[in-house]
Amino acid sequence: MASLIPPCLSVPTAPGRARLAAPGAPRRRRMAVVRAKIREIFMPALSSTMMEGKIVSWTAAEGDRVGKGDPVVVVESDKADMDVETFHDGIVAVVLVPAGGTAPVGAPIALLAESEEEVALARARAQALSQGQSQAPSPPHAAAALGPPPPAPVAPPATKGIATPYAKKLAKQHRVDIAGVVGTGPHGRVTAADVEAAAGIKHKRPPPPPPPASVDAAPLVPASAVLPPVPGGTVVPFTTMQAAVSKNMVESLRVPTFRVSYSMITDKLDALYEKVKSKGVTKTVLLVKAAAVALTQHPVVNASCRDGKSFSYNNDVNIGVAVALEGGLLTPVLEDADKMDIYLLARKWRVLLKKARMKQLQPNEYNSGTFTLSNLGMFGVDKFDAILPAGQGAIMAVGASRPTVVADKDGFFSIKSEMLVNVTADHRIIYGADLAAFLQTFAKIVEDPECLTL
Amino acid sequence: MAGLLHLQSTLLPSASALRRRAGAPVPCSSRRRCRVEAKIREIFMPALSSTMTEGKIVSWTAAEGDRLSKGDPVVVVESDKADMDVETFHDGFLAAVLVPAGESAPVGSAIALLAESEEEIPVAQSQAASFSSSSPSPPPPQETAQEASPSPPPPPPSAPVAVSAPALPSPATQGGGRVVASPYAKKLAKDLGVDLFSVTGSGPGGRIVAKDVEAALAAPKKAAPVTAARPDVPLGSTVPFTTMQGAVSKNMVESLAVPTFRVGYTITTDALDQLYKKIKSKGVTMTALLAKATAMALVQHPVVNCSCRDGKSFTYNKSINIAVAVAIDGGLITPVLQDADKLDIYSLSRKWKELVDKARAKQLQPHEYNSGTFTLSNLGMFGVDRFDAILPPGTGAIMAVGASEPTVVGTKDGRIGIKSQMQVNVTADHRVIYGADLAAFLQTLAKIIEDPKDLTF
Repeated sequence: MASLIPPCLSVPTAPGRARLAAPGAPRRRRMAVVRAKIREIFMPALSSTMMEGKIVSWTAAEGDRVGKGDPVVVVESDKADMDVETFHDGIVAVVLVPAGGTAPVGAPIALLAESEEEVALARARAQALSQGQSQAPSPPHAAAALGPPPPAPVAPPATKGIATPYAKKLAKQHRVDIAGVVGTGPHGRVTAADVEAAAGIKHKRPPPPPPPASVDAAPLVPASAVLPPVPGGTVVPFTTMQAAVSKNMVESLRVPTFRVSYSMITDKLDALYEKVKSKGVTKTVLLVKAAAVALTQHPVVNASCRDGKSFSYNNDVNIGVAVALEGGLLTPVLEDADKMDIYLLARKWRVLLKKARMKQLQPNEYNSGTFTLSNLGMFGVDKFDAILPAGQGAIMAVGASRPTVVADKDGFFSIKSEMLVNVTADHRIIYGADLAAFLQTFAKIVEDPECLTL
Repeated sequence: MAGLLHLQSTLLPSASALRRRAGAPVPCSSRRRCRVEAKIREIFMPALSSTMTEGKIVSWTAAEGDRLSKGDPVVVVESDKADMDVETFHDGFLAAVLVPAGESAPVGSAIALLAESEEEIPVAQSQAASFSSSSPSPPPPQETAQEASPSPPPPPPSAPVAVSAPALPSPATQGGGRVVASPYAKKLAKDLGVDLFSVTGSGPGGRIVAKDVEAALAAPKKAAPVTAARPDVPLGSTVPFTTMQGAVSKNMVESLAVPTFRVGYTITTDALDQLYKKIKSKGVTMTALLAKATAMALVQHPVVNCSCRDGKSFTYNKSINIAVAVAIDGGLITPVLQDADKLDIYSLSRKWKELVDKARAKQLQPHEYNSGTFTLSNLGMFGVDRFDAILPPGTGAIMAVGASEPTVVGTKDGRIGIKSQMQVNVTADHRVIYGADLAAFLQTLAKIIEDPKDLTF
């Protein structure tokens, strides 16, 4: 304790004195050396939509020596908890944001000293940083560089009695004392609008409509109103993941969508599933593979529209699958689903599910989807429609497969397993016929699923 | 004729009498004015809901001159959801009605004057006259001077009568004599070809104003469409929304800001139909049975009874209040069965009948249509297979119920049979309710309906 105090006190003083006494060249060299040995660890941007992150826990403690690539902190993004690594060797000198705190992307969250000699200096800098944040004055360094602030500009005094001729005429007409009117024109001049406001007159003609805003600038849908709280209700704030889900759902309102549904016989698919089930292949994986094969034949359904005026055709077929987790909703992505066999897909899916449940998915494992599958069949749902995720062209909602009485053209009844599939698509790029043709292909694959094992 | 002449002579002295009274000593007049003001109160247009900005007067329960007690209903006002009685907060006499039945007034504006005693009625009526005269633009001074010049000196005994005279509407014409009308009214009459002698004046002192000329012009035209139009609404015309229709439209537009999704489910209703036949004679309706089943399922899935009010949190509701959409003449309203999970099916049915009667009579109270936490919409009686409903603002989910129809069904072991099945389609707010939540809720609901013995407990 006692030994720490003297170095803190002496360090800021000695360099200052030395700088004043020393010639110019040595002073510059010394400052550069001091700056280069202390680095900041910043809050990383773990996804394109992330704007701030919450620190879950610090892996490294203050004083720990860390090597380049070592994890130092766990950050909660809107989709998963992630380890953050240091890019340099050094000693964790100061933790600026403790566990449980939140910081904007790009803000410093810790200071890294190159050697033990700089730890004290880094701590002093941290104090300066925290002092700057709490008091919110400009940093003393910046203030010193800028010099004394200039005097506040003198506001031009409002000129009384100055009014436009039309304002004077209106004032006389409506018996308004123009001396009592506050002017809003240039240099405080009284204008016609001011006189009318003072007289309590409202224009009967509506003001000209503002120029139409661009699609990106102004969302076309009305903003959601904030409704009054319910008496007796319990308010539970969204978690980070729930807030991200809600935000994504609201964004979907800007996309014009339509839906096409299709019923298909699944007896052969069910039979195939019974055969490959023992090898770890799930129904979901079979549907993913079928969708991927159909998408290769209908690339426009794998496309997206991001700017409102072009198709973005995707190279890869990446199928996202909606998964309900404890307190959230996530869509892990099976990348290149058209190129992998169902056994590899099944292994990949198990790995993704496990990661999703442990909140350890990497951004590319949930952000890279080009088409989404959502399956509520296990609940016995007939048919549903899902919300199209932002940045995608289509999402397929899969209902339950159930025994159904069907009649054929020859007039005979039989019982077959049938499921209803309902696809929601972005009508800016995918038209009804495109989607119908895709579903026709998908149905053929499902009803004759031999090609799924190739 | 003689009576009219008498009224004419007494109209004019009132102005000079009022002027002479104004010339009285200042302390005395200020005291008198203060006393007069304190004894005359205004009845204001109430705000019957948080969104109401103006109200339409359906009818006046009390008439001018009636004595009223605190709490007595005075007027029936149409809000955006129901017609409601408005009570007076004070005792007194209804001295003047400022807004007649059929007209609208903004919330907070005066619609009537209440006098504390009979002595104040004339003062209140003159105050009412000034109210009505102030609403059109004030006449130029020239008119006042012109009106004042022919006034004869008033006899003192006629002063009390003179005060009450201006409130009485009377024709300004004197059997072919001079017409008293504003210059603008005269100009309008000339332009539009209206005979001023046939127009009844509603301005101060029975003067004809522009509004009267326009009304006279419009009156004959009103008859023609009524006689010519055989259907209720003439085709090719624009019909403004009623207050209720305006509110429905506004709610539908608001729903565009909420991201919703839908889940559909097929439910076999044979057992429910049999139960309904058994207890139908006790007044239980199918609506009540569905509301009860829904409430029981919501108990097990509280997130579906939840709402998102600020875009960043769940609001879990304490009560389960099932609103049921009802189409009534000229509108759409959703009476609410409150605490539907706690009431037995028979009490629920009685409550529902009571609510429907009130809805049709436009007498629902705000908490009887505003407190829903989940909404039910049933078009089964029309034979509809399946539909989706728009989610009302402030709730998490709405269930659309289709008709129950005999359906050919098969089983896995190859048997074919016929069952009654209905399709329900729930629309939910995806900010708070996810697909799995809704699917699980529907799974529970289907179980309850397919084995409905719990509904009668």
